[in-house]
This record gives sequence, C-alpha cells and structure tokens, in this order.
Amino acid sequence: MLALIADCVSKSFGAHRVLSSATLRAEPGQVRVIFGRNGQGKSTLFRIAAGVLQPDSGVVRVGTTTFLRATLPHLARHGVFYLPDHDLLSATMRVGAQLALVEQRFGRQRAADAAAQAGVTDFLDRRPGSLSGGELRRAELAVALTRRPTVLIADEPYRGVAPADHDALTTLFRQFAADGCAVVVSGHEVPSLLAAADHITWCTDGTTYELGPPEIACAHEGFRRQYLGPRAPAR
Amino acid sequence: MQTAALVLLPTLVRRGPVLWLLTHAVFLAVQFAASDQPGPAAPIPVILLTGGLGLLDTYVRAERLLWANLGVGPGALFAGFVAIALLAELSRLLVLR
Repeated sequence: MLALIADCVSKSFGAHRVLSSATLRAEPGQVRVIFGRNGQGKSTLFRIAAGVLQPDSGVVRVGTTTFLRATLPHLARHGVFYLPDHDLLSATMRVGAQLALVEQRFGRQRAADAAAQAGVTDFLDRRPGSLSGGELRRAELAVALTRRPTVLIADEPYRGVAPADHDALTTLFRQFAADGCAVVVSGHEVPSLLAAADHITWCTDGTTYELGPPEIACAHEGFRRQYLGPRAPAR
Repeated sequence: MQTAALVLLPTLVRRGPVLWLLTHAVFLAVQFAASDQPGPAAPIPVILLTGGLGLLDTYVRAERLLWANLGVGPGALFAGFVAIALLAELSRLLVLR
C-alpha cells in the first residue's frame, strides 16, 4: 500500500497553469525520484503533497486517510516530514536546540546520534545563518534523521552539497528506505539520484509520467531526449 | 514523546512576555501621539495583537516549516501567544487592583 499519494492534482497561479494532472506517490521502503526541468511544477507538486500549498483539485492520501485540505501540521502527525529546498530551520535557534525540539516531540532517534550520522556534531552550537550551504543541508537532514518519518518528501536535497558528499547523502536516503520510510526526492544531480532511486517519475508539462526503475527510465526515449540530454548515462 | 503544546511551551514562555510588553509599548506610544493623557490599554486588543505579533515573529524567524513539521500549525501558535498574553493581562490586573 502507498504511504502517501497526491492524486491527480492541479494548480494554477493566476492565469498560469503549473500542474494540470500530476500525481506523487510514496511507497514504503522505496526511494522515488522525480525529475523534470525547471518550471515544470516539481516543487509545486512537492508542496501540495506536503500540505504546504492547497491544490485547485485533487486529494492527498496518507495511508487510508484522505485529506481534501491537507496541511503540513496534520500530515506531520501522520508521519510525514517535508524537507523544503530552503528555510527548514529557524534562523535564530541553534542547530542543537532545533534537533532537541524534534527529539522531544517525536523521539524516534536521539538527536546526538542523528547529528553524528549527518556529520553536524561540530556545529550544534551554531545558528543556521553561520553555516555554509552544504553544512546547512546536512543540519536539515539531521532534523529529518531525528524525526525518522514514515514519509520523507525532500525537494532538491543535493542542492548546495559538494559532489564529494553526494554519496553520503545517497547512503542516508537508502538507509531511510531500508528502515521502511517512503522517500520522495527531486533534483537535477542525475548520477547521484539514479544511484539512490528505486523508481523514476518524470514531471513535464504539468503532468507526471511513471517511468519505472532507473534502467527502464534511462531507456525512455522522450525522457532521454527532453531531460537527460545527449550525455545521458547508459544503463 | 511530548505533545505539541509541551514542545511549544518554552518558546512561548520566552517570547510571549517580551511581545506582550512590546504591544503595551506600541499602544502607549500611539496614545501619547493621539492625546495628552494616555491611559491603560484595553486588554482584549492587547491580547489579540500579541497573538498576531507572535505569529509574525515565527514567520520572520523562518520557523513556519519547522513548527509545521512538528505538527504545530499557525492557529496553535496564535492561540499559544494569546494564552500567554491573557495570563500576563490577568497578572497585571491583579497587581494593579
């Protein structure tokens, strides 16, 4: 059974239609990657699935519960964690204090263990504003690790992370999935994301196409031509 | 595992009284500007404005998504700051009696 589905959602901003009929699926134990060019509606779809944005039509289901008007606080109580592309952490609280908040609230994993796993132990006393892009991303992932959600929706988690650290991030996502978490990730870091993925979804022209496992997705002619480009990895 | 209210409480206790004092200062400044004889501000507008300022404060600190991921929505944040302001107003009335 799917852990979360944002089903047939549409969204317009004024006269601009961003999504016409898009679906995001999250399955326990799987890392699902959504690829798509900029402006195709990936982030909008993620925000709708996480309850941060309301769709014009469509529903969000978590397990057997259907939400006509899902909000992130509601979904969070059902085990959903949303990692946005920026601004997850409070600008004024120390990283350690924010990890402690998550530990107190949900207590799925010790904050200190999560910090060690994400490699942020050295800057628990610092505020997010003083961290580099990569350090900030790792701190945000430490929050997700502390939470140990049943559904993790991560919008462009590799952004700002040095290529040398991509493998560590991929390992973290695989660990989440191995623990039974349903992981949905977006981004443009094709090799790293293909290595992390069990399933590829292509978001284009306001809709989504389920392409299947990475080897099948990479063989899809339209996906290769319109997204991966001529230097697409051979699978 | 704690409830959302318990997790939120230390933040409310730390920030709520400061915002409540700030709200009184704003009311006082407005009354000074409007008349020569300022009096005490009416409790209900102060309480509601403190709630609104508390919510605004969490937005300025970029905490909206952090609290939402903890299961705390804007309504709960507003209600929390209102509750702190209500307690502060009751304390002030008791002291001034």
